[in-house]
Parts: sequence; C-alpha cells; structure tokens
Amino acid sequence: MKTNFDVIIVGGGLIGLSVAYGLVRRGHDCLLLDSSDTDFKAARGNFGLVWVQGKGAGFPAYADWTMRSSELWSELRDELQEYGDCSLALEQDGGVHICLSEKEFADRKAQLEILYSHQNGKFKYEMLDRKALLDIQPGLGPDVVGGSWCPHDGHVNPLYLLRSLHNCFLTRNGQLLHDAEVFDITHEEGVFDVFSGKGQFQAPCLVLAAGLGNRKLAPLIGLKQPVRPQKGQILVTQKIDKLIDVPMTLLRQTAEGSIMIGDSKEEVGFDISSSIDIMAQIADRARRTLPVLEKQQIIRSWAALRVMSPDGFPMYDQSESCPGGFAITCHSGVTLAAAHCFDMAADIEAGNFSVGLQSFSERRFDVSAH
Amino acid sequence: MLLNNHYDLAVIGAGPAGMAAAIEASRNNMKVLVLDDQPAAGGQVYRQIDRNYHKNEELFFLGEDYWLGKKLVDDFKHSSAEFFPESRVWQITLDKHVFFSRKGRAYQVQANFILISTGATERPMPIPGWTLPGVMSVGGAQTLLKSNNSGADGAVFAGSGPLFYLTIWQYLNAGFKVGAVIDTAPGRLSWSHYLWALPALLQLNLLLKGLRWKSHIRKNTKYFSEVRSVSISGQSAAKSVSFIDKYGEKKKLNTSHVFLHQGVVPNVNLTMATGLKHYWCPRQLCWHPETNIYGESSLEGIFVAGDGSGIAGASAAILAGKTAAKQIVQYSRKPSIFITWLSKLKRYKHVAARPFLDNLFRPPKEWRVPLEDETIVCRCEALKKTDISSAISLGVTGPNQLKSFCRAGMGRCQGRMCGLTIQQMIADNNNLPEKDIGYFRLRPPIRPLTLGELASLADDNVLAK
Amino acid sequence: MFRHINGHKTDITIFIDEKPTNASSGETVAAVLLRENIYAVHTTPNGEPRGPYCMMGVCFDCMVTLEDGQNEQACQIEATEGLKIYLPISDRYKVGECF
Repeated sequence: MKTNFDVIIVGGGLIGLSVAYGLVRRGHDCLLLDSSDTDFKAARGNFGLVWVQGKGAGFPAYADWTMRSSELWSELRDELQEYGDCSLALEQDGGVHICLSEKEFADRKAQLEILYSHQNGKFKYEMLDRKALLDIQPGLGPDVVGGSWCPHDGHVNPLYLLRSLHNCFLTRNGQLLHDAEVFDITHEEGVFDVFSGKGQFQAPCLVLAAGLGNRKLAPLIGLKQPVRPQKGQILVTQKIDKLIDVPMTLLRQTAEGSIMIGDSKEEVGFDISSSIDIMAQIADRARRTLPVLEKQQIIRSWAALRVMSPDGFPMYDQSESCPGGFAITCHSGVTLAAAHCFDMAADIEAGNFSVGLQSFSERRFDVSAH
Repeated sequence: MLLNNHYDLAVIGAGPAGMAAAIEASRNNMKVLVLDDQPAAGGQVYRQIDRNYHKNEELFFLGEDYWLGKKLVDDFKHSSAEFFPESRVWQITLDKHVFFSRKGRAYQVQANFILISTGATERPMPIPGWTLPGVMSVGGAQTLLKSNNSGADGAVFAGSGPLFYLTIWQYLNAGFKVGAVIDTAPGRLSWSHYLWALPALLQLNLLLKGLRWKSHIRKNTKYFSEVRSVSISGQSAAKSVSFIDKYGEKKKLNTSHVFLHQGVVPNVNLTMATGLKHYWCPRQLCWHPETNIYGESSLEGIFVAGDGSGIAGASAAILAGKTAAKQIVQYSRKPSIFITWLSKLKRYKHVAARPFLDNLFRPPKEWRVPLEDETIVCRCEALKKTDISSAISLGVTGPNQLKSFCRAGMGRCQGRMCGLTIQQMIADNNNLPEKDIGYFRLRPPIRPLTLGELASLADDNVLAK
Repeated sequence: MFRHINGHKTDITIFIDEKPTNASSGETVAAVLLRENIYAVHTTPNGEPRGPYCMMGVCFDCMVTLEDGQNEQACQIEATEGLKIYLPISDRYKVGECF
C-alpha cells in the first residue's frame, strides 16, 4: 500500500468523512485513518436533526454557517443519493421546538427575538400558540403551551448519511484504514508524518477530525482543541405508523417508523452508561408532548458523547507552527455536513480558512490553562 | 404484594440454577428476591411443572427428567425467598440496582448480591425460509407441548442435538404424527469424537438415554440422517422442506410445520448490557460471561449460574446455583483450596459429556452463515445476507460499525436472532478469528418497556438518589 | 394444524379481532393463535408476514396489540377469560398500530 497522499484525515466520523468526501470529490488523493469498532463515536449517536432555529445566540458567524449548511443540504443529498446506495430521507419542511410551560414559551420567545435581531432577519421563525401548533401536529398533550416553528429546519437519517459518505468516499478512490489509531505526528519541511496502528503515512496536508481524540492529537501540530465530552441519551421506540408530522428538537419519527426521543446534556466525563433517572425524565417529557406515546414500547436506548468546546460552538483551526495542518471539531455534525463537505473542503484545498471560518478559532478562548 | 427496596440477594431467572440458589441463600437467612418473566417458576426445562403436575398422567410423555424438577419447585415455593413472576428485568446497574417491569409499571430494587440465571436461548438458524410462518424453533415446539399442551401433526424436524431428540421423542409419546426427521449430525465419528467420548462415559446414563431416544425416533419416523443444504419454501407460509440426503440425492417433503434446532447458547443480553466481561468459547461457538469456579463474574458481587454461563444442562445448573449461593452466604470468608477443588470435581461429573456432545452436534457452517444471498439474517429489520455483505464490504471492523451502516441488530430482539451470524460473517470477510470480531454493544433496556413505564420512575420518585 | 393433546379441553373465551375464540386458561395467546391456524400476526417493514417462532420471548415475531393499544409478544400473554387482542396484520387498525 502506498504511503504518500495529498491529504491525511484523522477520524472517520461525520466531520472527518464530510471533509474527506469534500476533498476527494475535488480530485484530491486522500487517506482517512479511523479507530476501532467500539471507540466512542459521536457519529453513531446522532439524533438526525438538520436544525437552524435557536443556533448561534451570541455568535452570528455560527448562525450564518448553520444557515449556509442548511441551504446546501439538498445538494449534498442529491449527490450522495446519486453516487451512493441508500436514501437519506432528508426532509426540510420546518421544525418545532415545543414549550411545556408559559415560562418556557416566554424564555424561548425572548431568546429567538435576540437572535433574530442579530441576524438582521436572515432566518425566519414564528412563535405558535397551542392552537396553531395543533394544526401542524395533532395529538399534542395538554401540557403543550406552544412552540417556535422554523421553516428552515428538517431531519435526515444520520446513519445512512454516514454510510453514504463512507461509500462515496471509497468509490472516488479515497483510502480508508480501520483500527488505525494515530499515536504520533511530526512535521518537517512541509510534510506531515503520521504514525498509526496501521503504519506510517505522509502528506503535505493534515486534517484532525477525531472528535474527543483531537484533544490529544492537536498539540502535536501546535494547537490545543480544548474539547470535553458531554453525554446525550436517546430512546428509540418500536416502529409505528406515521404519527409525527413535523420534527421537534426532542422528538422525531424516522422514515422506517421508529420514534427517536431525546435528549440530555450530562457532564459526566467518558461515561456512556445508561442512567435511569435521565432516561425517565426524557420519557416523561415525551409523553407529555405526545400522550399517545405512553403505550409505545422503547426497544433500545442510546448514549453518545458530544464533542463540546468551552462555549459549545465549533472549533476550526489552522496550525501556524505546522502550515497545512487543520483541526476541526463541532457537535452538529449532521446539520453542518453540507458546509463541511463543500465550503470547508474548498478552504482546506486553498490552504487557508476564509474570514468567516477564522472566527471559529480556538484563540477565542484565550487558551492557556487547560 | 409489597416490594421491599433492599435485598441481600436478587436472583434473575427462576430456572433450576436460580431456584437452587434462592433455596440455599434463604436457608441461610438471607433476604432473597427472585424475578422471572413467566407466570410460574421452572425456567425453560421445568416450565409450568407446578400446573402440569396435576395432569401428570395426561402429560407422562414429557419424560421422567422433567418431573424430577417438581421437588425443586416445591422446595423453592416453601422457601422464604420472595418470588415476583411476570417481571421483566430490563436493567442492572453497576451499583446493583435492578430495574424491572411488571403489569405496566416499572420498579427498582437494590441488592447486596445479584445472581443472573437467565439461562439459554436457541442459536439463530439462518437457513432459507426460516422466517416463514409455520417455521418454529424446536424449543418453541417443546414449549407449546409443556406450557400449552399443544402440538402439530405432520411436522418436519430438522437439525440435531440433545433437545432435538428429546422433543421428537416427547412428540411421539404425546401421540402426534411426526412428518419426518432430518438429522444434520455427522454419521461417522472421527477420532476427536472418540477422544471426547471417554470422559463422556462419566455421564453414561445421559448417553444411553440419548441413544434410546434416537433409536425410538429412527423406528417410528421417516428418518433421514447426515443431511445438508436444508431449505424451506413457501410464499406466505411454509409449504415444503428440501434437502440433500446422505446419498447426495435431492429430497423434498411437503409440510406446513417445520421445527429447527442446532443447539442452545447462553442468553447474554443481560450480562453484556450490565457490563460483565465475556469470552468467546470456540467449542460451543458462543460467548460466555467470565466467571470463577463459584460463578462470580468480573463485577464484584454479581454472579452468573446455569446455562447462562455456559451450556451444561439442568443438573449442572442446580449445582451451580447452590455453589454460587454458598459463596455469597460466606462471602467475606475466603474458601480453602480444598473446597475449591472439591467444587471443581463435583461439577465435573455433571459436565463430563459436554465436549463430546458439543463436538458431535456442532452446528454445520451452513446453519451459522447462510449459503444463499436471499436468506434473511436480521429478522427484525428483514435484512438478507446480501444486505449484510454489502455493508461489510464497505469495510467494517466489527458488528457495531455494521449496525450503524445497515441497521442490523437495531431491532427489537437486540441481536438475539442475528448477532452470532453477523459476527461470523465479519470474521469470514476479514479473515480473523471470531473472538477478535466481538459482539454488538448491548445496552439497557434489554427487554422493551413502554414509555409510560419508564416515565413512571420519574414521577413516583422511586429512583434512589 | 396445531391441536391440543388428546383429551385436553378448552375452558375460556378470548377475542381475536373481536372474534370469540376457545382457549384453555393458562395457555399463551401465541398457542391459541397457532391452534386457530393464524400463523402470521404482523408484517416486517418490507411486508413479509411473521408469526410465533421461539415461544420464549426472544424473537419478537409474535407481536399482537392489546385493547389499550400496547404491543405485546403473544407468547408472553396468558389467555384469560374475556381477553381481547388484535392482530397488526389485519387492516382494521390504523394510527398508533405497530408493524
């Protein structure tokens, strides 16, 4: 097997694969190094929302980036479905954030008003009262006071997204190695030497997209990437006839019929065990939202670790000490897949992040003591 | 029925191992709770023995081994152990909280020790047509006989193994017409069979019993031995079974009922989801929880006994349950080397024939990985061999990545019907031993429960803080 | 056809899709279905008919619907006098019905 490539990407999750596919479709010779079957892979725990509403409060560049990706998503879907072998079941007909009390409703309204004013009306939304919500989603429980509806929101099958990116990466002659955990990187005369469990490889360009693993790898190219794990748990029901017409932040129905129920944000380190109290709270909120769910069977649960930066927004960096080296992490791998695939790959090809992406640098944290 | 929140010992599964452990522990004044998903104790082997006892003349055909379980069940009922039937355990946490559902509500208890004795389940048997209505496992056919006093006339039994012969024998005794028996066991014994036959002589009575069953079956049914390439056909239900007989001739039998068996394996969903370490047993082609001689797992205070820790049969299960309970009762005292070795010897005479049986009835490769592309592998998601193969060809290191690519293993059964098949397929494709491939990462709830049941734990404040 | 062993009697009535059906107290609904020649009770996502297979609650192919809309494995439901169960495979039930 050859050892020289144009680009080496470390990490075979949604971020890594989106960027890797973005690069091979631009004609680059890429090697993707992925870890083993049971490693923490945020990509296997995605909820599947392609979500715009509520994103980027206090960080306009993120709201713009999210909106951009949402606009590009159907293009990504068309391309992956044409060259891949499965349907992504993308729907972008709007989504709802449910409020179960007057206070929740008031808080949400205020939050979106601020966001809207910063975005100069670039994204649309509407606060809907209970009556209006029932028109778009019948069967809502008596506790549902109202919610925020956004026409830009949608959902997709996240596992088939992963599979399609994987497949299309390979069909465009991308090289992919599993069980190839990277343990060392050096940089000399413009070339990165990457030492992995499957051998040593070289490339002038390196992209670190190993999620939580970036924390250990980034210093090797002069970056910090201060990510931390944040646990999220999901419950999945049996397959049911179409019940949920519009995706909600914590409730969506897949094309196969099962209902995905989220969500939690737990700061418990690298623990992906199931915690009953959290699962019970998730279940309780879901049945208050849609009472008919009370009798439906939960057939499995899922927990995964989000890759969280200190402020929750993506971290995109290019190394100054090792030009050609990039480190990218975020926790919205599904929503941002299109932007990563098209825009970010183009920037990496050019060797420089555009001004917009530069605002995502870890320098915003004044990183010193971690 | 009042539920205490704290017990000395919680036993999951009221089969022979669980009952024996509960009797021993409660005899030593431990506060014991036993949970089982069935309405009565007995497990699979002694299923419904209490209710059946009153009809034991009518049900004589179940055989004397079955009735031996009656005393055990009686002793269990008379013990001080609390028994909660119809209780489905769906999670055990590391700090020994047991979560279960019963009649629409979820409960939580805590125990100082836990014994998992959830027994065995039949191997997946992905042969063409195995998902057609009318096709059942032989264990299923036996349960119909034991618990429901029902059976079908004209069924074709296909496979091999001790449970296979026992069930056919019981069917014949019960007066059902057996359509045919197609036996996949090898005809000629090889040197390794003879080698293992020597220690098997310690369980001579077991071997003689098997030979008696087999000879009775040969005399009283249309019997085909050493068959291969078994497949079932039908449009929306089973209509016929085809196979190649020992002379190489193709045969076809018309039937609406096909009962399959290729051995049993430990039911590892609860032990794996709880986080116990497991190892691959190449001889039994399945995963076993790692345990010491007393049955204690890799997690302190959590024990496993019975077929759930390795297939060895009812008498070994009873001994294992008792041994585990004895160890739990005197947990702080370290057992002497003498006691340890005595236990090993005692156990040996209950399992001496195991290697011989495992070898003789090793499931043929074509029953572990289908020969034909169109055969269903993942029943729940209706995925065929070809669907799995194309996902594997994308390059997977193990079953978890495969699961995320094609949904295999994501259905209700949580891999019980496809996990071993998929593991073997990946091993074959990647040219690695099965043990290096691993298994699905299992998580609670290991049995489905309703959203309402789960949510009720939040509002009842039942959850321990 | 599945049948009871010789001499065994039924003593209760359950309702399958509203149709009164003879059963024996204590047997499972799956056994009753098989005796009634109902071998398929639900279909898979791609329309394949499925019915009881393992009789011990691990295959999940014997799913039926209870009166309150909950799905349950027929082999885990004990037949009791007046019990009503519905088959997902029948056309009768729409929203909230599982498959």
